[in-house]
Amino acid sequence: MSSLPPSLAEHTLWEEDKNPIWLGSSLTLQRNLARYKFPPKLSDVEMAKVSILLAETLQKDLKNSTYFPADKLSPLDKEFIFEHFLCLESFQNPDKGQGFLLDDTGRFLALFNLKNHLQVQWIDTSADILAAWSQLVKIELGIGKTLDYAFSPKFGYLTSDPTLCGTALQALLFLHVPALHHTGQLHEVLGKQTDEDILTMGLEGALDDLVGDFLILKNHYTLGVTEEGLLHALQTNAMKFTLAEKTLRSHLKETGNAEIKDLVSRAYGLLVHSYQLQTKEALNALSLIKLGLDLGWITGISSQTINTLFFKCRRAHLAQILNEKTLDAHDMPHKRAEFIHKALQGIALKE
Amino acid sequence: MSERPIECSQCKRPAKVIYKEILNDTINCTEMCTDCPVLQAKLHGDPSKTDKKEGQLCCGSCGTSLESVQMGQPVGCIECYVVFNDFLVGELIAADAIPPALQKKLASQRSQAIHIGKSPDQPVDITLSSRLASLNEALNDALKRENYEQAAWIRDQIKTLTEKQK
Repeated sequence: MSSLPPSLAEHTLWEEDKNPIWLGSSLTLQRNLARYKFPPKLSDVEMAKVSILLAETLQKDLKNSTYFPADKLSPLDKEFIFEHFLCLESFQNPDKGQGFLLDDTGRFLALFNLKNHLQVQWIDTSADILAAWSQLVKIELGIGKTLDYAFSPKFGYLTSDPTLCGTALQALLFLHVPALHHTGQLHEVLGKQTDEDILTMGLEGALDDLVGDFLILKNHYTLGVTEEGLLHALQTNAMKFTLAEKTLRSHLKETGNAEIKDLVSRAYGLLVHSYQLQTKEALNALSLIKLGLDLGWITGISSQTINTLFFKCRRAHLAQILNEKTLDAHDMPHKRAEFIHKALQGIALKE
Repeated sequence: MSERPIECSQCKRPAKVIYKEILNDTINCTEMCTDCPVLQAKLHGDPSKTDKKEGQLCCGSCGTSLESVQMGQPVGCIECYVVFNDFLVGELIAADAIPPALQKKLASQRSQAIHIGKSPDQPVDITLSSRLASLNEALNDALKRENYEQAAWIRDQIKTLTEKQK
């Protein structure tokens, strides 16, 4: 049985569906404490001491939060956290002295002693990264009242990986761009994107295999930039991609497009009739169903339901829903297909 | 299409080795690739924790050597940034971790501060104005392209935000 807070499993982040294109953003701040060596130089005992110190300090402000030593969490729970918080780097290898802290909002995650003493992360789903930034800064300032951060006027906040020092702020913006992707216009839009402060990637890194049609915008620099400038550049670029996707969808709705309609129909067939479904297949097909719904070609399902399925079809979420104890169940692709069949009951393809 | 394999947390290559540690009644399974530094550390001890060698530039506080930093190992403490200052500036420029405009300045003046963001005693308050600026930029862009549908949508967003600010 999972030891994670139930609120985490009960609500997926995108179920509110406030913005059909810019689905979410994740902001992460890395910090080290001045009086301790950085985690790669600490013994297990010292790391455990730092983890507990940070957890106790955080819990003064975050009353409804729970601390989990990493070696006490199952691989399933860790992957669940990885999926829920839209993380790009896995933290499966447990080390004594590492830990996690989660609160009851399901939007905040603190990681202790992974690469730095503290990594705080906030997820926003209202296309408002400044709101997420405010939350993070509030938490960071709370800790800073009692503990000094490793900081130098020249390099800013100091991290164990020097390429992340400075603001030590990493922002990821998740944009759902199936229309741009499947009409081949994404590369054209990307070509016009000349802002050197912004990097683009997919869920698995490369842009040529855009899993689930999710385009991720992230900041290129953490050093030599201000937090405001960095967030402003990301926001402006997110707005440009959102508008391009929105315009293209309006055009597709008006004119129709046989190729895209065919893709949506095939995705419908795959999700409704498959005996086995792999995660990537499911994400790609769900993306097209969501597009079809927005274009009025699919009925009988809400956009929110599809959003939740983006999470629930992934390995750890599905294992938890199905009460599996491990991640390596051989019949998982079949169970995923069955789960999606049930979730999509009532869905219909408009002729 | 296969299920995404569990990856080595260090390098994202597929995990090939399962290292099981039994501590009291807990079994910890660590999955990693064959070249994983985590595996090497488990088998032979962590070199980054004991890498102090004679005759090398080392951090007096944590023992991290310049050689290990050159090899891509993490720095070990706040002092490392002072001891390896020149090397780190060069590395940050080489890794394109600093905006190009600043790189040019640094090439001639290495002592210059690179960080321009907030400091612990000067928290910045980023207000809605930044978001409004982004929207205004997008609005001008849409109007220039005479895309009035987009412009109307952006104007609605601006209106909602402005009302929030009141």
